[in-house]
Amino acid sequence: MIEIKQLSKIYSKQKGDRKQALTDVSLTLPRGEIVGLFGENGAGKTTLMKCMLGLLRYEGQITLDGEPITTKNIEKLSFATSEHSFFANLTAQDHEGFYGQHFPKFRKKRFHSLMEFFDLPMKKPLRTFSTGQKNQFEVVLALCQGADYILMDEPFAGNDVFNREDFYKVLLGILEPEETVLLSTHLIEEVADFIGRAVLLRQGQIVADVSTLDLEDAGKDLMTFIKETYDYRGDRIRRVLTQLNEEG
Amino acid sequence: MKSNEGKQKKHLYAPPGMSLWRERALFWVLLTVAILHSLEFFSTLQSHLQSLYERLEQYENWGMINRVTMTDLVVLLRGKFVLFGMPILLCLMAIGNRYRYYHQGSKSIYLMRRLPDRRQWYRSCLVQPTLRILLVIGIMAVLLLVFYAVYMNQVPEGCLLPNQWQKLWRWNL
Repeated sequence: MIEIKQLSKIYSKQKGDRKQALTDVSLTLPRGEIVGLFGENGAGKTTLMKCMLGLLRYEGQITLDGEPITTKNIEKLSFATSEHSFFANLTAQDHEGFYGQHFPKFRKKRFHSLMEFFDLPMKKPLRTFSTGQKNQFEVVLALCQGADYILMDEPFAGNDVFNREDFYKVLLGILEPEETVLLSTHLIEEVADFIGRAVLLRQGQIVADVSTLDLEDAGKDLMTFIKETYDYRGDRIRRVLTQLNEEG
Repeated sequence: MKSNEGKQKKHLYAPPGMSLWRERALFWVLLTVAILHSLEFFSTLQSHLQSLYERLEQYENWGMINRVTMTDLVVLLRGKFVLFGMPILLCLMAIGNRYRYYHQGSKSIYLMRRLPDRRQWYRSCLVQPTLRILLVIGIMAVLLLVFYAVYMNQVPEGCLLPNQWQKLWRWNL
């Protein structure tokens, strides 16, 4: 289980400017869940994941199965990001070797199945891949590292809808009961049927943490719930346009 | 199989996928130029040795000038090692380039920073350039010893000023 307690993160900018990216975030991720992490741009989704991975300094506490996250247990976490964390000059085959060398639990069989499923070339440098293929490969690596907790940050920015649909189905099919996925995305409606829990961040704070079953029981769909939580005002566009027209 | 193992070992000491042939070639070229330049010491030594002697017309021969002393070794060495700074500078730049590589084309730095063996990141940036810097320093040391030995051997005892070795460390080479 990953436990995050009172996590805060402040970015210090130039000229002494400080931006509070996360404020007292507390969250628990038990094993075997697919959790959606939602929020507007700048809400702190990426920052939260980077803190979990130790890529950023933070205040607060993050533990993995009761232990702080260090080099001893970091292999239990994998990460797929739209920024891509693979080596652009290496081939998929080279990555297989690299991951095999550094991550003892690397899932070779799963790797080959997914490469075949997504029809990705094994012997071409990744820099020659299309954006969609790069995203797929990034996700393949995260799923095959042998991690118990798979963090995905906007993994499909640039993929077409069929591609994404395929991925969600594969994800549900291949994940083992012990594997946990934390998926940050703006594609709320697409993932609504695949996640078991939704965590909503707003301005660096968790504003909702709800299971999709509870939502179903309450007769609400995820999108409506998120809009309500965010106090989304659908009429504001119409009002702005009317205002502009009046001024014109 | 062997080539795969070789590739994996290569990944340990260099950023995976980084093309290093230019850096390697430039290093060896600069090192060779620096060594060749330092060997100019021998011609400097030769000309200073010659200046210890004068032409004795009546004997149609050369004779040593009275009470003449040989120029200090440290003076002969001045500027001879300066070009070794180039390969060392290249190695320092190589460390920076390797670090930057993990931010180019993708953010592979995220992967390197979450490897169970965190030292791998430092290793891939530092080991090769550091070994090369040590090699340059080693070559400089060997050359210095050779130059010292040749100097002490070639300079006539009567012309030799004392404390040549100690004087080396009071000057900038």
